[in-house]
Amino acid sequence: MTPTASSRRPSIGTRLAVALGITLALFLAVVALALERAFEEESLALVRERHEALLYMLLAPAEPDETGRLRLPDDLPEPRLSIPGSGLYAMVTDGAGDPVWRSRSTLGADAAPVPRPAVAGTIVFAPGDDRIASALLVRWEGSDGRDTDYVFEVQEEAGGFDARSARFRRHLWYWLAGLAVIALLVQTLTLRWALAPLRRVTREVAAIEAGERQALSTDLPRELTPLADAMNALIDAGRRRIERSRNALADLAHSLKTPLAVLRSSAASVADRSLASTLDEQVDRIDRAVDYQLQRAAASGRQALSPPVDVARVAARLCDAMRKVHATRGLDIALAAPGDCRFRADEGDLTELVGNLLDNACKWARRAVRVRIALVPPQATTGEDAAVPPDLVIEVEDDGPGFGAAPAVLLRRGGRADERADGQGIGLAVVDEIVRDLYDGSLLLTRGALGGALVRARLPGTPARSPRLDPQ
Amino acid sequence: MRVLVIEDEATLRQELHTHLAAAGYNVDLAADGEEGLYLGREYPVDVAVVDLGLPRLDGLEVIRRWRGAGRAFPVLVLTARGRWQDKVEGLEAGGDDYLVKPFHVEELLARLRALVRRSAGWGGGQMICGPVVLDPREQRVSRDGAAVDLTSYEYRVLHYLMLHAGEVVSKTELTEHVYAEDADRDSNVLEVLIGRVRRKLDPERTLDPIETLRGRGYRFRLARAGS
Repeated sequence: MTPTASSRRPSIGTRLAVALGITLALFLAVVALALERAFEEESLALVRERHEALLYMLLAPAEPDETGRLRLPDDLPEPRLSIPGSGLYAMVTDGAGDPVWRSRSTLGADAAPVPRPAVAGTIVFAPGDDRIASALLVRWEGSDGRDTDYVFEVQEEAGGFDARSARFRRHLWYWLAGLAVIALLVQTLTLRWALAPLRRVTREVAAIEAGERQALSTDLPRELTPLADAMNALIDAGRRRIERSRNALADLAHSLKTPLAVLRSSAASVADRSLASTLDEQVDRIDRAVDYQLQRAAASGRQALSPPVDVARVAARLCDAMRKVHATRGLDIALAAPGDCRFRADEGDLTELVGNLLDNACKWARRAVRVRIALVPPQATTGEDAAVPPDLVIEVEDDGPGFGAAPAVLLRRGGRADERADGQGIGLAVVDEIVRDLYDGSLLLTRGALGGALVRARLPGTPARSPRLDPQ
Repeated sequence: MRVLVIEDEATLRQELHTHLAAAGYNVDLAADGEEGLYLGREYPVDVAVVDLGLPRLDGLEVIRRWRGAGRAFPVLVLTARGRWQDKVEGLEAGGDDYLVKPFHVEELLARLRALVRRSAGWGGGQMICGPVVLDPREQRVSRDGAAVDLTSYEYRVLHYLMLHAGEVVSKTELTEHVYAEDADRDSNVLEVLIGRVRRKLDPERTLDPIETLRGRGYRFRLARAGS
């Protein structure tokens, strides 16, 4: 994947991590709020129950004295009511709001006004910011038969309650944070585990490109199996198609060339010299046309998922072959190539390319032929970018007469290729076709340091037209 | 010179036979790989022409098996396609040169001559031993610049002996390479031929280019020049 592509499309791992992360955060926040709310309500309910109990505890020993005033004992079962400033207060007021009785704890403490219950026997619960208060309205029937209203009040400082809530909240958040960390960890491991098959497929595709594998393995999760099968079928079909078409071309060549060979051979024995030469010329024309078209058709171009080719080895084999063929001429054929010279291209195409150039060079050379192969950084990029595959540069040079004035003419392509004068033959036209049409490369014909012809072919590592797959 | 041609196309095979015979070769023909393999292994072949697309046994395999069996005669590979991979494979299998169909007969003959000379350790062009010059292209022989008129068989004998100048050539070997398979193999005929070559090449008997090694054969004793 190229850098631009990765910045445009987030990876599946990132997508899943982001989605799961957001879900997790929302979930934990809602859980925290709900728990906090529940805790507060539950705490208040407890306070309310306690207040009710306190109120009834106050009510039980209350007795009117002989003057008809309500009396409460000084010692009560709840000790906090007896300790001044304990934070728990109780008082009784009469119908007019005048205090009848106060617990000892109210000494030095202000009493906050409490809403009065409207109906006798009911309790009003008022949780305020500073105090939590409860009030009970009691209608007392005196000995004289008159009813007197009394309000029993219990007040509690809210501080204790708040402190408990805060402690709970703190604990709650600690636990939730711990939970979040664990969940994130589990999520990471899950993602890793779930995406492992995808990573494996990517690795295997890279291995196929590197020529280390022939196909994707099929023991994948159910979702990926159809994809892998389809890929394998595609790879296989591609290989088969090339092989089948090459075989067909070989058969076609054989069935066309052999009759031509017969014709030419027979022409040599024809007594009529002008007829013989006409025959020969026509055979020549057919041969060149057939040759050119066959070679064009055989060139396949770069295939997706084709393994890289060791260009140096291809060139070395051809140099050996040419040395053997030209053994008696004592040609000095030298090859200069870096140790690792692997380039993603079709081996057949590279063989044709180098073979044709080398053949021309050997044909015209007096003593020396030089072949140089190099991988160079692409022209477009600056500096060392390891992600961009290098271009392949092939130079073939000889010390022969050179190209003369107009080398461009040699490259003129099209239907007239078969009518080109012999000499450079169709070799250069085929080279041109491979370099420029199939690989989007460039071809330069010039005069070399040896004084003869120098052909420089440059094939880009990644043409825009054929996307390639990368391991990461 | 004995040439083995393996070509499955009958017409082309016959054409090749005609042209090669006219050029002074003894021609063995095979129509498929198996037959060709056998002939090349069992017969004293000087040079072979092998088509790559053969029935029954692939041309490459034929060459490989010959080389595996220690047969070192030069092989000219015929290929229908001009593909470099085919050419390289043919040469790597043990071929010595290639020719793409349809070829000119003259080209084929020139390549065969070059291969035969090369395999015998000769350079290109004429074969020169002292004052004797043999031009395999023109099939002409001269001594001290004066042309020597030889019959076809006399030429073949001299060519073979000069090709292996300095080496002992047995009568059997000479017979096998000079005569067609079905020819009369009476050794007296060969002795008569040698005698005629000696007289034509060295009428004054000053040079004595061909020595007889009793019981072993003949040797062309003039040293090669420019090889």
